[in-house]
Amino acid sequence: MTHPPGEQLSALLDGEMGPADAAALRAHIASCASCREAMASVETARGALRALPLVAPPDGLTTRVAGRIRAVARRWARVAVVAAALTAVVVFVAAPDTEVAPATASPGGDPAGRVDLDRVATPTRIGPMVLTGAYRRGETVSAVYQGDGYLLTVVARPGSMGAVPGMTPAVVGGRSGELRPGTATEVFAWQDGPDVVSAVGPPAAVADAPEALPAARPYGLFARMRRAARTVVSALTGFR
Amino acid sequence: MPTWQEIADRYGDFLYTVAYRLTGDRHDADDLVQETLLRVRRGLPGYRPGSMEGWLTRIATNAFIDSTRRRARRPQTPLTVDHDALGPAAPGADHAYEATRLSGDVQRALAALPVEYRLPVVLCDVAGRSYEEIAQTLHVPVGTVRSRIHRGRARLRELLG
Repeated sequence: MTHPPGEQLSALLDGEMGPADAAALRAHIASCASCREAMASVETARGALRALPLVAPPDGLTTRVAGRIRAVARRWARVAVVAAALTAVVVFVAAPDTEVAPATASPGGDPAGRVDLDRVATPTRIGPMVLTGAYRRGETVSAVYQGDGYLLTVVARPGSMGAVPGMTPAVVGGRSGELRPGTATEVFAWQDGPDVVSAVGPPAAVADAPEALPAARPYGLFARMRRAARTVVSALTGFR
Repeated sequence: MPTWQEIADRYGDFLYTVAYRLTGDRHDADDLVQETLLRVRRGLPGYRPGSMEGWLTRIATNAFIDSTRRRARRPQTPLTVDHDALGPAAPGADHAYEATRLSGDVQRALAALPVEYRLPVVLCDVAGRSYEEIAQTLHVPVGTVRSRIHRGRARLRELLG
Protein backbone atom coordinates (compact mmCIF):
# COMPACT_ATOMS: atom_id res chain seq x y z
CA MET A 1 0.00 0.00 0.00
CA THR A 2 1.28 3.46 -0.87
CA HIS A 3 1.20 6.11 1.87
CA PRO A 4 -2.33 7.43 2.36
CA PRO A 5 -3.02 11.13 1.91
CA GLY A 6 -2.43 13.02 5.14
CA GLU A 7 -6.06 14.09 5.45
CA GLN A 8 -7.04 10.47 5.99
CA LEU A 9 -5.04 10.53 9.21
CA SER A 10 -7.14 13.44 10.50
CA ALA A 11 -10.34 11.77 9.32
CA LEU A 12 -9.37 8.56 11.13
CA LEU A 13 -8.76 10.43 14.38
CA ASP A 14 -12.08 12.25 14.01
CA GLY A 15 -14.03 9.04 13.38
CA GLU A 16 -14.93 10.32 9.93
CA MET A 17 -13.99 7.17 7.98
CA GLY A 18 -15.97 4.09 7.08
CA PRO A 19 -15.08 0.96 9.11
CA ALA A 20 -13.40 -0.85 6.19
CA ASP A 21 -11.25 2.13 5.19
CA ALA A 22 -10.41 2.78 8.82
CA ALA A 23 -9.27 -0.82 9.35
CA ALA A 24 -7.10 -0.76 6.21
CA LEU A 25 -5.56 2.54 7.25
CA ARG A 26 -4.82 1.31 10.77
CA ALA A 27 -3.13 -1.79 9.37
CA HIS A 28 -0.94 0.37 7.14
CA ILE A 29 -0.01 2.74 9.94
CA ALA A 30 0.96 -0.20 12.15
CA SER A 31 3.48 -1.30 9.57
CA CYS A 32 4.73 2.10 8.37
CA ALA A 33 7.05 4.18 10.52
CA SER A 34 6.70 7.39 8.50
CA CYS A 35 2.88 7.24 8.69
CA ARG A 36 3.10 6.60 12.44
CA GLU A 37 5.21 9.70 12.76
CA ALA A 38 2.78 11.75 10.65
CA MET A 39 -0.10 10.40 12.73
CA ALA A 40 1.64 11.40 15.97
CA SER A 41 2.14 14.88 14.61
CA VAL A 42 -1.55 15.29 13.75
CA GLU A 43 -2.52 13.86 17.12
CA THR A 44 -0.36 16.43 18.87
CA ALA A 45 -2.00 19.34 17.08
CA ARG A 46 -5.49 17.92 17.48
CA GLY A 47 -4.91 17.13 21.15
CA ALA A 48 -3.55 20.61 21.84
CA LEU A 49 -6.61 22.21 20.24
CA ARG A 50 -9.02 19.99 22.12
CA ALA A 51 -7.24 20.66 25.40
CA LEU A 52 -7.83 24.40 25.06
CA PRO A 53 -9.87 25.53 28.05
CA LEU A 54 -13.31 27.08 27.98
CA VAL A 55 -13.15 30.87 28.13
CA ALA A 56 -15.81 32.60 30.21
CA PRO A 57 -17.51 35.61 28.65
CA PRO A 58 -16.88 38.97 30.31
CA ASP A 59 -19.42 40.20 32.85
CA GLY A 60 -22.37 42.15 31.58
CA LEU A 61 -22.44 40.60 28.14
CA THR A 62 -26.17 39.86 28.34
CA THR A 63 -26.82 43.41 29.55
CA ARG A 64 -24.92 44.83 26.60
CA VAL A 65 -26.91 42.67 24.18
CA ALA A 66 -30.17 43.79 25.83
CA GLY A 67 -28.98 47.39 25.34
CA ARG A 68 -28.38 46.77 21.65
CA ILE A 69 -31.83 45.21 21.31
CA ARG A 70 -33.37 48.33 22.86
CA ALA A 71 -31.31 50.55 20.53
CA VAL A 72 -32.53 48.60 17.50
CA ALA A 73 -36.13 48.83 18.77
CA ARG A 74 -35.76 52.61 19.14
CA ARG A 75 -34.45 52.84 15.59
CA TRP A 76 -37.43 50.84 14.31
CA ALA A 77 -39.79 52.97 16.36
CA ARG A 78 -38.53 56.04 14.50
CA VAL A 79 -38.98 54.24 11.18
CA ALA A 80 -42.49 53.22 12.22
CA VAL A 81 -43.37 56.80 13.19
CA VAL A 82 -42.21 58.11 9.83
CA ALA A 83 -44.04 55.29 8.03
CA ALA A 84 -47.22 56.03 9.96
CA ALA A 85 -46.90 59.73 9.23
CA LEU A 86 -46.33 59.04 5.52
CA THR A 87 -49.31 56.69 5.49
CA ALA A 88 -51.43 59.42 7.04
CA VAL A 89 -50.29 61.89 4.38
CA VAL A 90 -50.99 59.42 1.58
CA VAL A 91 -54.38 58.53 2.97
CA PHE A 92 -55.51 62.10 3.63
CA VAL A 93 -53.76 64.25 1.06
CA ALA A 94 -52.79 62.21 -1.93
CA ALA A 95 -56.22 60.70 -2.42
CA PRO A 96 -58.50 63.69 -2.95
CA ASP A 97 -60.85 61.66 -5.10
CA THR A 98 -61.43 59.01 -2.53
CA GLU A 99 -63.94 59.50 0.17
CA VAL A 100 -61.95 59.01 3.28
CA ALA A 101 -63.72 58.91 6.56
CA PRO A 102 -61.31 58.24 9.35
CA ALA A 103 -63.99 57.11 11.68
CA THR A 104 -63.80 55.53 15.01
CA ALA A 105 -66.98 54.83 16.82
CA SER A 106 -66.13 55.49 20.42
CA PRO A 107 -69.24 54.44 22.25
CA GLY A 108 -67.28 53.81 25.41
CA GLY A 109 -66.19 57.45 25.56
CA ASP A 110 -69.56 58.96 24.75
CA PRO A 111 -72.47 58.39 27.15
CA ALA A 112 -75.01 58.81 24.35
CA GLY A 113 -73.25 56.23 22.23
CA ARG A 114 -73.05 58.83 19.47
CA VAL A 115 -70.32 58.39 16.92
CA ASP A 116 -68.00 61.33 16.51
CA LEU A 117 -66.70 61.30 12.96
CA ASP A 118 -64.62 64.43 13.35
CA ARG A 119 -62.31 62.90 15.88
CA VAL A 120 -59.68 60.62 14.40
CA ALA A 121 -59.85 58.38 17.42
CA THR A 122 -59.95 58.36 21.14
CA PRO A 123 -56.86 56.34 21.92
CA THR A 124 -58.05 53.11 23.46
CA ARG A 125 -55.80 50.57 25.05
CA ILE A 126 -55.99 47.00 23.77
CA GLY A 127 -53.55 44.89 25.70
CA PRO A 128 -50.12 46.38 25.05
CA MET A 129 -51.31 48.62 22.22
CA VAL A 130 -53.63 51.50 21.47
CA LEU A 131 -55.67 51.51 18.30
CA THR A 132 -55.65 55.10 17.08
CA GLY A 133 -57.54 54.69 13.83
CA ALA A 134 -58.43 52.66 10.80
CA TYR A 135 -58.45 54.12 7.30
CA ARG A 136 -59.18 53.03 3.82
CA ARG A 137 -57.90 54.23 0.48
CA GLY A 138 -59.21 52.43 -2.58
CA GLU A 139 -58.80 48.77 -1.89
CA THR A 140 -56.33 49.22 0.90
CA VAL A 141 -57.14 49.32 4.57
CA SER A 142 -54.71 50.68 7.08
CA ALA A 143 -54.97 50.62 10.83
CA VAL A 144 -52.63 52.53 13.09
CA TYR A 145 -51.78 51.15 16.48
CA GLN A 146 -49.64 52.88 19.05
CA GLY A 147 -47.55 50.54 21.09
CA ASP A 148 -45.14 51.17 23.89
CA GLY A 149 -42.88 53.69 22.19
CA TYR A 150 -43.87 52.81 18.66
CA LEU A 151 -46.57 53.13 16.07
CA LEU A 152 -47.66 50.17 14.03
CA THR A 153 -49.43 50.64 10.73
CA VAL A 154 -51.30 47.59 9.50
CA VAL A 155 -52.20 47.72 5.85
CA ALA A 156 -54.63 45.13 4.56
CA ARG A 157 -57.09 44.70 1.75
CA PRO A 158 -60.79 44.63 2.63
CA GLY A 159 -61.82 41.20 3.75
CA SER A 160 -58.26 40.31 4.61
CA MET A 161 -58.25 41.90 8.05
CA GLY A 162 -58.58 38.35 9.31
CA ALA A 163 -54.92 38.01 8.37
CA VAL A 164 -54.10 40.73 10.90
CA PRO A 165 -53.00 39.10 14.13
CA GLY A 166 -55.83 39.01 16.63
CA MET A 167 -58.62 39.93 14.19
CA THR A 168 -61.12 37.31 13.05
CA PRO A 169 -64.24 37.50 10.86
CA ALA A 170 -67.39 38.15 12.89
CA VAL A 171 -70.88 39.64 12.68
CA VAL A 172 -71.51 42.40 15.23
CA GLY A 173 -74.62 44.58 15.35
CA GLY A 174 -75.79 43.13 12.04
CA ARG A 175 -72.53 44.02 10.24
CA SER A 176 -69.97 41.61 8.88
CA GLY A 177 -66.46 42.64 9.80
CA GLU A 178 -63.35 41.71 11.67
CA LEU A 179 -63.37 41.40 15.42
CA ARG A 180 -60.67 41.43 18.01
CA PRO A 181 -62.57 40.02 20.99
CA GLY A 182 -61.93 41.10 24.53
CA THR A 183 -63.73 41.05 27.83
CA ALA A 184 -63.19 44.69 28.81
CA THR A 185 -62.42 46.20 25.41
CA GLU A 186 -62.87 44.87 21.94
CA VAL A 187 -62.21 46.16 18.46
CA PHE A 188 -64.59 45.68 15.59
CA ALA A 189 -63.73 46.89 12.10
CA TRP A 190 -66.13 46.77 9.20
CA GLN A 191 -66.72 48.09 5.75
CA ASP A 192 -69.16 51.01 5.51
CA GLY A 193 -69.50 52.06 1.88
CA PRO A 194 -66.05 53.26 0.87
CA ASP A 195 -64.84 53.37 4.45
CA VAL A 196 -63.51 50.95 6.95
CA VAL A 197 -64.75 51.89 10.38
CA SER A 198 -63.50 50.58 13.66
CA ALA A 199 -65.30 50.60 16.96
CA VAL A 200 -63.36 50.32 20.15
CA GLY A 201 -64.91 49.88 23.53
CA PRO A 202 -66.71 47.51 25.88
CA PRO A 203 -68.33 44.60 23.97
CA ALA A 204 -71.92 45.80 24.67
CA ALA A 205 -71.17 49.31 23.40
CA VAL A 206 -69.34 48.00 20.34
CA ALA A 207 -72.36 45.85 19.48
CA ASP A 208 -74.47 49.03 19.30
CA ALA A 209 -71.88 51.00 17.32
CA PRO A 210 -72.72 49.86 13.75
CA GLU A 211 -76.31 51.04 14.13
CA ALA A 212 -75.24 54.31 15.73
CA LEU A 213 -72.88 55.21 12.88
CA PRO A 214 -74.30 57.99 10.72
CA ALA A 215 -73.81 57.93 6.97
CA ALA A 216 -70.20 58.64 6.17
CA ARG A 217 -69.80 62.13 4.81
CA PRO A 218 -67.19 63.23 2.27
CA TYR A 219 -64.36 65.40 3.47
CA GLY A 220 -62.96 68.40 1.66
CA LEU A 221 -59.30 68.52 0.71
CA PHE A 222 -58.65 71.23 3.28
CA ALA A 223 -60.09 69.14 6.10
CA ARG A 224 -58.03 66.16 5.00
CA MET A 225 -54.84 68.21 4.93
CA ARG A 226 -55.53 69.68 8.35
CA ARG A 227 -56.14 66.21 9.74
CA ALA A 228 -53.00 64.84 8.08
CA ALA A 229 -50.92 67.65 9.50
CA ARG A 230 -52.34 67.01 12.96
CA THR A 231 -51.61 63.31 12.69
CA VAL A 232 -48.05 63.89 11.53
CA VAL A 233 -47.38 66.45 14.25
CA SER A 234 -48.73 64.22 16.99
CA ALA A 235 -46.83 61.23 15.65
CA LEU A 236 -43.54 63.11 15.50
CA THR A 237 -43.85 64.91 18.80
CA GLY A 238 -45.52 62.21 20.83
CA PHE A 239 -43.48 59.12 20.14
CA ARG A 240 -39.95 60.11 19.28
CA MET B 1 -38.57 27.21 23.63
CA PRO B 2 -35.79 28.93 25.58
CA THR B 3 -35.34 32.70 25.52
CA TRP B 4 -32.13 34.20 24.20
CA GLN B 5 -31.18 35.17 27.76
CA GLU B 6 -31.52 31.54 28.89
CA ILE B 7 -29.37 30.48 25.94
CA ALA B 8 -26.82 33.17 26.84
CA ASP B 9 -26.71 31.89 30.43
CA ARG B 10 -26.50 28.23 29.56
CA TYR B 11 -24.28 28.33 26.46
CA GLY B 12 -22.38 31.56 27.18
CA ASP B 13 -19.09 29.78 27.87
CA PHE B 14 -19.39 27.59 24.79
CA LEU B 15 -20.33 30.51 22.57
CA TYR B 16 -17.67 32.84 23.91
CA THR B 17 -14.99 30.15 23.65
CA VAL B 18 -15.83 29.45 20.00
CA ALA B 19 -15.90 33.20 19.31
CA TYR B 20 -12.57 33.75 21.07
CA ARG B 21 -10.88 30.88 19.22
CA LEU B 22 -12.23 32.18 15.91
CA THR B 23 -11.31 35.83 16.41
CA GLY B 24 -8.26 35.48 18.65
CA ASP B 25 -9.22 38.68 20.43
CA ARG B 26 -11.39 39.29 23.50
CA HIS B 27 -12.94 42.47 22.18
CA ASP B 28 -13.76 40.91 18.81
CA ALA B 29 -15.09 37.81 20.57
CA ASP B 30 -17.36 40.03 22.66
CA ASP B 31 -18.67 41.73 19.51
CA LEU B 32 -19.16 38.37 17.80
CA VAL B 33 -21.09 36.88 20.72
CA GLN B 34 -23.30 39.97 20.92
CA GLU B 35 -24.06 39.78 17.21
CA THR B 36 -24.68 36.04 17.52
CA LEU B 37 -27.14 36.51 20.38
CA LEU B 38 -28.99 39.19 18.41
CA ARG B 39 -29.32 36.72 15.54
CA VAL B 40 -30.31 33.96 17.97
CA ARG B 41 -33.10 36.19 19.28
CA ARG B 42 -34.34 36.86 15.74
CA GLY B 43 -34.00 33.22 14.71
CA LEU B 44 -35.57 31.61 17.78
CA PRO B 45 -39.08 31.33 16.28
CA GLY B 46 -37.59 29.16 13.52
CA TYR B 47 -35.45 27.01 15.81
CA ARG B 48 -36.24 23.30 15.61
CA PRO B 49 -35.25 21.12 18.54
CA GLY B 50 -31.88 19.59 17.79
CA SER B 51 -28.31 20.31 18.73
CA MET B 52 -28.32 23.76 20.34
CA GLU B 53 -24.50 23.87 20.09
CA GLY B 54 -24.74 23.05 16.39
CA TRP B 55 -27.30 25.79 15.81
CA LEU B 56 -25.32 28.36 17.79
CA THR B 57 -22.12 27.39 15.98
CA ARG B 58 -23.79 27.92 12.61
CA ILE B 59 -25.07 31.36 13.60
CA ALA B 60 -21.74 32.40 15.12
CA THR B 61 -19.87 31.21 12.03
CA ASN B 62 -22.11 33.21 9.70
CA ALA B 63 -21.70 36.29 11.89
CA PHE B 64 -17.92 35.76 11.93
CA ILE B 65 -17.75 35.40 8.14
CA ASP B 66 -19.85 38.55 7.73
CA SER B 67 -17.55 40.48 10.05
CA THR B 68 -14.40 39.31 8.25
CA ARG B 69 -15.96 40.44 4.96
CA ARG B 70 -16.74 43.82 6.46
CA ARG B 71 -13.17 44.09 7.66
CA ALA B 72 -11.89 43.11 4.24
CA ARG B 73 -13.69 46.16 2.87
CA ARG B 74 -12.08 48.34 5.54
CA PRO B 75 -8.37 47.57 5.23
CA GLN B 76 -7.40 50.02 7.98
CA THR B 77 -8.54 47.46 10.56
CA PRO B 78 -6.70 44.33 9.45
CA LEU B 79 -7.76 40.92 10.71
CA THR B 80 -4.25 40.04 11.84
CA VAL B 81 -4.00 39.50 15.53
CA ASP B 82 -1.85 41.43 17.93
CA HIS B 83 0.09 38.50 19.28
CA ASP B 84 1.63 40.47 22.10
CA ALA B 85 -1.80 41.17 23.52
CA LEU B 86 -2.62 37.49 23.76
CA GLY B 87 -1.62 34.61 25.91
CA PRO B 88 -0.56 34.61 29.53
CA ALA B 89 0.11 38.34 29.55
CA ALA B 90 -3.47 39.12 28.60
CA PRO B 91 -5.23 40.90 31.43
CA GLY B 92 -8.15 40.02 33.65
CA ALA B 93 -10.09 36.82 33.54
CA ASP B 94 -7.56 35.16 31.26
CA HIS B 95 -5.60 34.08 34.30
CA ALA B 96 -8.41 32.02 35.72
CA TYR B 97 -8.96 30.07 32.56
CA GLU B 98 -5.76 30.26 30.62
CA ALA B 99 -3.28 29.73 33.34
CA THR B 100 -1.06 27.51 31.31
CA ARG B 101 1.47 28.88 28.90
CA LEU B 102 0.69 26.01 26.58
CA SER B 103 -2.83 27.17 25.79
CA GLY B 104 -1.44 30.65 25.11
CA ASP B 105 0.96 29.18 22.58
CA VAL B 106 -1.79 27.15 20.93
CA GLN B 107 -4.06 30.20 20.84
CA ARG B 108 -1.32 32.26 19.18
CA ALA B 109 -0.71 29.52 16.61
CA LEU B 110 -4.45 29.23 15.96
CA ALA B 111 -4.78 32.97 15.45
CA ALA B 112 -1.90 32.83 12.97
CA LEU B 113 -3.73 30.30 10.77
CA PRO B 114 -5.40 31.71 7.67
CA VAL B 115 -9.15 32.04 8.23
CA GLU B 116 -9.98 29.32 5.69
CA TYR B 117 -8.09 26.79 7.84
CA ARG B 118 -8.86 28.29 11.23
CA LEU B 119 -12.64 28.12 10.67
CA PRO B 120 -13.00 24.37 10.02
CA VAL B 121 -10.38 23.55 12.67
CA VAL B 122 -12.22 25.56 15.34
CA LEU B 123 -15.60 24.15 14.30
CA CYS B 124 -14.19 20.63 14.57
CA ASP B 125 -11.84 20.76 17.55
CA VAL B 126 -13.41 23.53 19.66
CA ALA B 127 -17.09 23.42 18.75
CA GLY B 128 -17.09 19.62 18.29
CA ARG B 129 -18.96 19.61 14.97
CA SER B 130 -18.90 16.75 12.45
CA TYR B 131 -17.33 17.13 8.98
CA GLU B 132 -20.82 16.97 7.48
CA GLU B 133 -22.12 19.78 9.69
CA ILE B 134 -19.04 21.89 8.99
CA ALA B 135 -19.46 21.35 5.25
CA GLN B 136 -23.08 22.54 5.46
CA THR B 137 -22.16 25.52 7.61
CA LEU B 138 -19.33 26.65 5.34
CA HIS B 139 -21.10 25.69 2.10
CA VAL B 140 -18.18 23.60 0.86
CA PRO B 141 -17.91 19.86 0.03
CA VAL B 142 -17.03 17.44 2.83
CA GLY B 143 -13.77 16.62 1.00
CA THR B 144 -12.76 20.27 1.27
CA VAL B 145 -13.53 20.29 5.00
CA ARG B 146 -11.46 17.15 5.45
CA SER B 147 -8.39 18.56 3.68
CA ARG B 148 -8.64 21.99 5.32
CA ILE B 149 -8.90 20.51 8.79
CA HIS B 150 -5.85 18.39 8.13
CA ARG B 151 -3.82 21.21 6.62
CA GLY B 152 -4.86 23.50 9.43
CA ARG B 153 -3.67 21.01 12.02
CA ALA B 154 -0.44 20.36 10.14
CA ARG B 155 0.25 24.10 9.92
CA LEU B 156 -0.57 24.49 13.61
CA ARG B 157 1.85 21.71 14.44
CA GLU B 158 4.60 23.54 12.54
CA LEU B 159 3.79 26.79 14.33
CA LEU B 160 3.96 25.07 17.70
CA GLY B 161 7.47 23.89 16.79
